[in-house]
Amino acid sequence: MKRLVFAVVCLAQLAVPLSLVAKHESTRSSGTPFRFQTAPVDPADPFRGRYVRLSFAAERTPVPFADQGFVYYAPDRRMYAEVEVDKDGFARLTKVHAQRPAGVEYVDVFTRHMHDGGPGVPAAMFVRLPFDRYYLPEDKAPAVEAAYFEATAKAQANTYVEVRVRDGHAALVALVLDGRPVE
Amino acid sequence: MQKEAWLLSELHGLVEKGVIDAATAERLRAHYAPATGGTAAAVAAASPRLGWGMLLLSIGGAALIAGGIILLFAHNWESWTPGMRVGLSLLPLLAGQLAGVYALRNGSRLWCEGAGIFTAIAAGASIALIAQTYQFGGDLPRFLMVWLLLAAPLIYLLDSSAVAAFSWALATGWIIASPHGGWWGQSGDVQQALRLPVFLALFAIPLPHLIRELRIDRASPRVAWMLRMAILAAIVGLGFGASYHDRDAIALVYAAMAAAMALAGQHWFGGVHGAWGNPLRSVGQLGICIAALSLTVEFTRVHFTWPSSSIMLLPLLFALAALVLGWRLFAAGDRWLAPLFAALPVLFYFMPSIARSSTVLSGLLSHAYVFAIAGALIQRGLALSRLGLANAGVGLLTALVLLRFFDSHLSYVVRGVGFIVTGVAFFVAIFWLRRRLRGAAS
Repeated sequence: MKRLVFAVVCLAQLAVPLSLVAKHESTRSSGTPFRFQTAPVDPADPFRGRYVRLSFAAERTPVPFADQGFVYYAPDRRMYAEVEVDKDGFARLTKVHAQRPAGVEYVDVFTRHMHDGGPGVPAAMFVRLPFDRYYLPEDKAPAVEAAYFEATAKAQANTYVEVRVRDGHAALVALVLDGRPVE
Repeated sequence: MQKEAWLLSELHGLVEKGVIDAATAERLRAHYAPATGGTAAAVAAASPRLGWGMLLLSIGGAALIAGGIILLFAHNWESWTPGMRVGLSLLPLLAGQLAGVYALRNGSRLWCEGAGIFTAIAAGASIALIAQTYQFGGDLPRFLMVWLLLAAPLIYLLDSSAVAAFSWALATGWIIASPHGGWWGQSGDVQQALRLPVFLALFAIPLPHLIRELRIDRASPRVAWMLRMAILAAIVGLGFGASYHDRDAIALVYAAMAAAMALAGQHWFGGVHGAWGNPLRSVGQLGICIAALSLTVEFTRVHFTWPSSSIMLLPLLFALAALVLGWRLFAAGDRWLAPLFAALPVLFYFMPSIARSSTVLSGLLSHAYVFAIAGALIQRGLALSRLGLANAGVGLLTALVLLRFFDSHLSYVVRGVGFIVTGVAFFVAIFWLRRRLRGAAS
């Protein structure tokens, strides 16, 4: 009996990482593509090697609550933001939902803090996108960081990440600095 | 003598298999101890704790190998395709699982502990490495929760105390990393309200294993190590788990928990001496001293306000445990220390009400309580010829004096002279206690 339970636990331990792979692969293959404008920085993560930390233009704009009766959230709470493409071709978060919305493209986000726009302004919140890091080989990370600073120094820098989104799950496909994808 | 030593080395296994109970094992140890030479070393050599050093080496070796493999993978990561990376990410996990299968067949405790902690670490590492391969974003609380739930069954399947301690560390990590409202958090927020119950549920997962080990051999180092980790997890977890609105209640929870721990350490680990060997008693007594001293500060007494939320169930449960244990110890002959410890939660709960009615009365009560505990500690230390206990009593009195110097409005000169006098009195008291104890011993 103990060996049978051990076998079940072993399968569960293997199933969790494999299900992550499956979910990600299906999103990459059949998800809706979006481009999010970025502003990366470069910290070191002792557990996962080096990566470029990403922040986005979409995170700097407060997103109105879909349900205006909903007034307050603690930070780092998972919510669901509707995504649309603006006239420049970049993704924009239009509304944030407490529950998964139906019939619209949305992406899982994490709450940051409330936006106080004053009386009469719709309740809104700053959010954090879940694809907040782009992993790179150790030797390439500094060069990418330098390329980022160069790209952002130019006006109208074409710096973004390509993301595919399916049922809220976002698969980061590429980091593009000044129009050139990072290999 | 070799036969007796062999018999003693078998006792631990016999208790585990239920052939004999722990009390019988203790009696056999006591009976055959003289036959093995009568020395502590000989008895220790024949006891199952011989394996503890090997056990630590096994656990440490497994953890180092797992960590080293992860670092090697991380360093050469870019050389491999995503498919290879997934395979390599799962390889340590598979290796750990195979070692677990071998450990189950072999039945060796060394293999069980080593394979258990290796598999537990590899389970989390495989997720982290795949997250890196596929550029997943960071959701640390969810990662830690999944890691804990995948590792926890190994505690029971492989009978691994190392995984139990690791699970408490993961539960602590989860409560620290999980979203919490802080002072701006919405009162009545469901997720906020669930954090503490979820932490307590996670905390409880390894407890049956700890209780089982307690029944087998409560004086074993593995029990002491698990207790240390559990106590640390409980203290940190409760602190982080409570919402800002319940911050006062946490002080009461800590006070009641300290009383329950100190009495549990005294009741169930009476024969286990030393602050390191009996963490329940040592941490509990330290907590009692801190709580008692905090009550002597007028600001604390007056400003504590107890919320009417479910968190108040915790001090109630700890207080009930402390009262029951206090009563048992009192019935067993401990007329001073145990009743005083058991009274702490009740005193702590009612002190703000008393202070708001009369600050003088509450001040007298709180100071009298500290003096009583200090006196009881000194008396117990002298009675049992244990300098550490007596020193604790003197130390408590010294801390009280120092605290009054800090929060009083006396001049620097008076405070300086006071510090010197207190310091001298401390050394004189220790010198006197040592002489008393040496006199009693001779």
